[in-house]
Amino acid sequence: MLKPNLPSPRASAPPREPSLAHLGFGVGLRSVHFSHILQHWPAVDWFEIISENFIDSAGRPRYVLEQIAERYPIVMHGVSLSIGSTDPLDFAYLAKLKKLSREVNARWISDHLCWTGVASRTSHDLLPLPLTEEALAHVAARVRTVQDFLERPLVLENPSSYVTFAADTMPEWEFLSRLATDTGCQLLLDVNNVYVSSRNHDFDPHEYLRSIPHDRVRQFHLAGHTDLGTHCIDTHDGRVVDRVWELYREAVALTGGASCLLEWDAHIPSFDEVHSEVLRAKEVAAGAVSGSPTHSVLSTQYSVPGTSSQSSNSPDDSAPIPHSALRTPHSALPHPAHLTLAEAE
Amino acid sequence: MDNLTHLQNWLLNSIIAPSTAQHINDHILPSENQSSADRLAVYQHAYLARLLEVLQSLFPCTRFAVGDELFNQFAAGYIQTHPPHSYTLAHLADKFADYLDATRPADWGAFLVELVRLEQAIDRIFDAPGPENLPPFTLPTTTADASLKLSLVPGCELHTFHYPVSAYYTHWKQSLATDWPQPQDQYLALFRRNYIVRRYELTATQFTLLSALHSGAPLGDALTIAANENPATLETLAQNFQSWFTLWAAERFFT
Repeated sequence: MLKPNLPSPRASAPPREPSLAHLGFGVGLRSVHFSHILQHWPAVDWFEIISENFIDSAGRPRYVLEQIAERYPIVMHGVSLSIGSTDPLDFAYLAKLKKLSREVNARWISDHLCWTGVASRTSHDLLPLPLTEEALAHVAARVRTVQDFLERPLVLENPSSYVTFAADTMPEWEFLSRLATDTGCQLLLDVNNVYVSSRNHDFDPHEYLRSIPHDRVRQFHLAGHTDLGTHCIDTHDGRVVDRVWELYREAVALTGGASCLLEWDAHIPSFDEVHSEVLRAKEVAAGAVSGSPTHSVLSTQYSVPGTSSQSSNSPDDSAPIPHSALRTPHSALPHPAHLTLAEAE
Repeated sequence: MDNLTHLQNWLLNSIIAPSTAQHINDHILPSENQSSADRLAVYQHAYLARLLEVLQSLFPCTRFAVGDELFNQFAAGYIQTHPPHSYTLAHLADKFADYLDATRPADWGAFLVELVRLEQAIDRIFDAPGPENLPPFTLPTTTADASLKLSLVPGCELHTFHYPVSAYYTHWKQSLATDWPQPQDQYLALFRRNYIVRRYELTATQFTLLSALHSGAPLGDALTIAANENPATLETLAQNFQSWFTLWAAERFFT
């Protein structure tokens, strides 16, 4: 139920927005690759930045970003908007997002369908919302407010999640679909998250892909995850697994394609290795659009989730679970030690 | 919004303080392979692991000095006492030095606390507004002008320590094994040039002189303050201050 102080629902009327161009196949900008990018200016279509790593930066991260933004399209992807929180929206934070988006000519601004904290405390995690009418109305009102403030549609990503609530009254795809229809927001369809959540919550990922409003998908995310057998963790620490490639191909066929971004946030390899994985996405997407098979990209057949032994990032049964597998990514430490230590004399 | 607020407070409390989590089965459904508690534990573990990793990344030298086990104990205690409030993890450790100071064994001295403050300063200056886009600075031809005012460049910080933490930090960066140092005053100017954070060791007299200038005192007053606070170095001050300024100007301390 909406509170009186919240904006009233209104017919879908998304704010004006910049170009809807398909940017191609991008890479998440990570500080370990700064030097490589500045030296080689690789042939990447675009970069996605973690917004929080740059909105307060006045040092080398910002200096690097400015140079990159002169040469590549930039998309801002945030982790702290907390669109689902019952705390008030942080307009100082939003103002920083808006300012940076203008300064780097961000093509769009995205964040997650989640909340990160409440009562002025934050988990620095992407926490799931109960999928209820109450939550939908709450989030929709806040999306409208944010879009009005940013003067552009918000792009929201389906998060990976590890719990479902007894209070849930609808599946996530219905929640997202109604949210997009009601507010005019756009979707960042993280295909890996669809797979991870389908494993964790025992739903059919194909139904998810079929059920979302395909015309609202602005962008795709791809990433690796860790399969722990009983559940999957969205670790962003390896290559995309074949099941996710298959889902991606299906998503491209359903939507007609959209800008695609590969995330790699832990155990990050060389830029060239990350980029090679991005080029696999390009090949899969091309196959999806043309209808041709992509045997050169996919090494195994797709199977029903939970029934295959495929385990690109799975620890073997006898090995202890790696520490990194027990955490989710999205840490947004603006300047990790590898960066500052390389600089300190 | 009452139900949503209640659920969010319950979940966040259950994540931040797992031992207080109650009524888990009332809120969280089990999956085919996991109980409700197991599913909640994914978030509980991720919360602590993520924040520990951030603190480890922010304080690599302190972690080396105290060892992984003790560092993690302090870090976990800090996270429990001071859960994060900011949208950015850059502020996670704002009270870490104070927490360490309040909880450290008495016989440790303040070495680790000062090492934390040094690492925090380096991290802060690294991404703070700096001097890179300022016009070149030219030191006036005579620094004998008592009314001359000099400003330190943005991001330049002056620090005094009671342990030689900068020397320890250098040894650590060079992978040199070293014991905790004995108390010894150390004075530092920390600044950035070409996006590189630099540490410049000062004498007590130099520190006093620069601190006075930084607080807005004209050169004549700053020299008087430095002389009064360090009378034993009066002759050194008189003989050397002009060459000091030449060196500091070359390092781009001033704007």
